[in-house]
Amino acid sequence: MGQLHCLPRWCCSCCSCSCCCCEGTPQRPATARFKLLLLGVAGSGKTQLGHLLSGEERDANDMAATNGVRCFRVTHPESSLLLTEVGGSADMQRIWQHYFATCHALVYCFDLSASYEQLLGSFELLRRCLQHATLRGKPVLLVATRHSDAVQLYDVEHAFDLEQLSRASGCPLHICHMAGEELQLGVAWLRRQLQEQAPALDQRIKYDVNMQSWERRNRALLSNGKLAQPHRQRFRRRHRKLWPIQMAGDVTQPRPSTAPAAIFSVRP
Amino acid sequence: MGLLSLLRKLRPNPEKEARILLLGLDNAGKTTILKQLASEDITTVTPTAGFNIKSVAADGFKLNVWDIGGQWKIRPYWKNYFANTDVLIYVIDCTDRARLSETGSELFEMLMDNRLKRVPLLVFANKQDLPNAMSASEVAEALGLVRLEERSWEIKACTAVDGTGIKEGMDWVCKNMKK
Repeated sequence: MGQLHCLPRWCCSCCSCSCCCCEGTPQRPATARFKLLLLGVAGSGKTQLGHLLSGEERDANDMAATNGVRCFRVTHPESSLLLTEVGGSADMQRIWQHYFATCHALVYCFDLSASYEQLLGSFELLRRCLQHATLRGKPVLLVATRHSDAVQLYDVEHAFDLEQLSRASGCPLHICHMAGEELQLGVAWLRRQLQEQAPALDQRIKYDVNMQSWERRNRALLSNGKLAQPHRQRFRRRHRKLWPIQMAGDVTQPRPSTAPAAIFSVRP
Repeated sequence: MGLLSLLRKLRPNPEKEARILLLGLDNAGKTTILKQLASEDITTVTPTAGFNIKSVAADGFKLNVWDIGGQWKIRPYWKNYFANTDVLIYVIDCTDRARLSETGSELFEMLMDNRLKRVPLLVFANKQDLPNAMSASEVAEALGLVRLEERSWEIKACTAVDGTGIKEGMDWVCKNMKK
């Protein structure tokens, strides 16, 4: 009897704390999936970085510019990352904004060996992206994809005022080279940031996605004319009753004290 | 037995054969693209009421391209061709703004199929030579491609009647074949 009683209680306690003890530890790695967005101007080496991170072999003649979306999967014992790379041509930059809401973090590539003007354009683009409401506050990893002897990363940091950018947008920034060791450190930093902010980010993504789908639905209904707009007129029309209801306290028309005499009138 | 295996060995890379589906609404330009791939005359293209198949050699691959008619009546038969597809090519008429939502919903309905789960998608934004054609990013937005998750897709602007852009698209197909 005692055992019988004990068993369900043990079961019960197990279920209630499933998030932390019994299911939590083995399943956390499988469930912790983070979506990263991989952006950068055209020719900044996004596809190269994606192949490097995911460990896939890049075909030697696969050097054409991406004009669409590529997905890379990075498996890791703690958390698997799903990289979504969107092409960087001027035409494709128009659709970047659609991916901001669903990503947990941004990985932004820039070509360190490019000229000052090109770098300026690249960081201006980053600044405009980070101003977007759905990207604000998400961690950003900046990756310098090519090497340059003349320019160091702290030069970039000062020249483009990344600290100010980070403060203005609320995004934690980390800058690193694409060379092996440093990239690993950068990715480790990103993982740490994601682990710390995971619940908040998940919540945020859910909220943004719901908001967007609601807006899209609303727009579709409005354009189809199916949604009755509640306040089409400037002033609301008065509530119209079917028939006037006599109020209890209405004394403008007092009840006659006697019954109408007509009933009792005798016909001559 | 001996001769057959010898012949098999002589044939270079017999396994490098790919099945490619070419789909899209009617009047999108599927058959024209197919004829351009095979370098055939495109002046006699008529609406397809069935399917056309052509084998094209490219980059050491043998591409079997299936072009299936896109009229409303025969769209239900598309799903019979989904099995073992390596690459899906979807063709869009960029001047046909009125049917954009229709082509988008057809595409999404198709992509929900399990057999096309890990198949890379190439979208040909066709008829770019016409004056009011939409640009590639506009098409991607209007079709809802930006809402696709965990799928690689590529959009190529092309003009089927003079063949611009088709070569680049097929290059992408060869490189992103389903492994």
